[in-house]
Amino acid sequence: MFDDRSPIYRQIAEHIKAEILSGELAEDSQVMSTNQYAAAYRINPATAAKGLRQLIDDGILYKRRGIGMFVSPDAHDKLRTASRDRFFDDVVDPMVEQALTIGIPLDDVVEHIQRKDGKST
Amino acid sequence: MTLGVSAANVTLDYGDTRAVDDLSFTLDGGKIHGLLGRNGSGKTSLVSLIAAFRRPTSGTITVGGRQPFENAEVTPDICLIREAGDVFESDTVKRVLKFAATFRPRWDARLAERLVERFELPERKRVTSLSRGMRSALGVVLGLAARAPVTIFDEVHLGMDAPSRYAFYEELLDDYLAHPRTVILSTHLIEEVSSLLEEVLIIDKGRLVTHGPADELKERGVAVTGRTADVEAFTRGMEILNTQRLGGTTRITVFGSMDDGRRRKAAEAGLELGPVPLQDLVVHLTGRERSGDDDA
Amino acid sequence: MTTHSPSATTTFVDMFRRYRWGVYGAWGAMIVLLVIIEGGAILLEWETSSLWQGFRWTPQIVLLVCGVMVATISTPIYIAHGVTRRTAAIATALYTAVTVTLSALIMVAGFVAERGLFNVVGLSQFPDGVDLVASPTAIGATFVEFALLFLLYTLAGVTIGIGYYRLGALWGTVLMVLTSVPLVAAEAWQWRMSLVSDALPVLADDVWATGALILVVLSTVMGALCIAMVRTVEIHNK
Repeated sequence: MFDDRSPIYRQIAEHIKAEILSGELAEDSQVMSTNQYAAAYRINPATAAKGLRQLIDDGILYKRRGIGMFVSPDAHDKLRTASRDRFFDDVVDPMVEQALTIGIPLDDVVEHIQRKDGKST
Repeated sequence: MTLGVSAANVTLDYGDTRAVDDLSFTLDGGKIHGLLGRNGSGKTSLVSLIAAFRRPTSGTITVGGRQPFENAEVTPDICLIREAGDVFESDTVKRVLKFAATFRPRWDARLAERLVERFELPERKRVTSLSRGMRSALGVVLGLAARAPVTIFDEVHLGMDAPSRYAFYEELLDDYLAHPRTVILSTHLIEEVSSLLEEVLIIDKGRLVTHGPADELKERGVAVTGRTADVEAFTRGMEILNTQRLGGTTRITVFGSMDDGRRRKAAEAGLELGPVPLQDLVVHLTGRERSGDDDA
Repeated sequence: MTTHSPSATTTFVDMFRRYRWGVYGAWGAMIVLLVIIEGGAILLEWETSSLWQGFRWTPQIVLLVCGVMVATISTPIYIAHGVTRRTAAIATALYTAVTVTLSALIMVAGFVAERGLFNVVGLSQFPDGVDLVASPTAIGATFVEFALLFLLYTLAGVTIGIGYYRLGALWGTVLMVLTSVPLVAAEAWQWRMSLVSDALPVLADDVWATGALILVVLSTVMGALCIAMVRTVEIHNK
């Protein structure tokens, strides 16, 4: 369920974010408790708590005292924006770097992209 | 009810041999701690001290703020499980459970019954005629069902096959979630339990190597892979745990945290950054001098 | 919620239950054997004197062995289950007191019963020596003798056991050899009394009382040594 690539708490946060983006977790719906995540993923509850805390800090989830944690109303949009921003930093920039390293002119890259765009429309 | 455990300059000598050397630490109550280290690192001696099986040669051990040795208020709350669990070998499994019920104040008989079924322990068989794996399973049953506020499992996995071990981890986590207690897992099979651990305490040759949150420790291990020259340049000045070479590619495992800026630099240099399994970190951190720059 | 360490009584009860079959089983077997052999001998009209006397060796060994097991096997397990060493020591003392008393009672009762049997067929129970159960006083004296004997054997067992466990092979052996001193003393005391004096008044003999006192002192010393060793015992690693 978890790979070695990144800390487990971050992977949990990513799972939940993915579920929100895909619509599986609707806005204002309740997410599982820390203990429930711990039991489900077979991990220490402190790790689950860390992941959930990060989502709360990022404003993706909010806590209702005594009841539980819920998906923020604007979570979906927030995540889409963040994904978008990250896309350029984490995917496009390295691609550009690598193209330059290999020695592919960026014009070729742009042309390739445009061809793909033409094919899909 | 949770009890913390702490040690202040604890030393334990067996005659001329020093098993525990000036150890100091504080374990928060209510957490699952991993006690990690090589054979002969002092793990067994340390847990014996915590459980008041032995007394420190010098220094102080406290459990819940009190010294456990000969302390009737504390000792019933500490349960050290090793092998089959310090039981009468001539007893049947059933008799062992009755014995534990008498002597452990928080014993949960229903849980014990369910676990005996889960691990398929033959109730009428004597402990001496149980296989190694069953003995360990019995130890697990005793440790879990006793619900002692401080529960220590010392290498209980020995002899248990993988399904039994996974069953143990599952039962441990479930019971811990429902009834939090301080758990210390002393084990060699670090990878299997790493996701259960909240904190890790690594000792080597009786001394403390490191102690802290498990994921913090995991994040301090980074495997840097790429072209030899680039990798060596990038990792210069960092604490190197291990170097592997294959052709023109080198993987250097370093110990130390890397912020996002540094990670980006690595990506730009065409280097791959990967995590290091906790087990590897422990192996690297114990049993040898920690080297500085060049390990080749 | 404060919990308490299991009490000395609980520990004693568990200890007693574990060793009762060994101890009282041995007594039972002896009684059965006695009835068969002696009953048979009498039925077949063979001259015989007290056979029960000969049976004292077995309980001594059983008590010694149980003492060793209590010290080396039982005590560490109780301590591992949260019982303090102090409680374990008290439980052991209780176990010793009860076992020794019951054993001495059975021993004396055996003589009395045997005497009844011999009277019925008109044989003398003790043709050569002191009549151990001639009178209530003699019965009392015999009881004290066997109680002290059994006490010393039990304590010797515990001492040897805990000695080896705590001190290791070398000093454990030294201690074991030392425990033979009180045992020999007890045997000499009882043997001498049974052979030399005539029936009553056994208690008028100063040696008996002095001997008993010495043995009581020796028992106390051994008991104190055992307790001291248990109180500081470290449970072995596996």
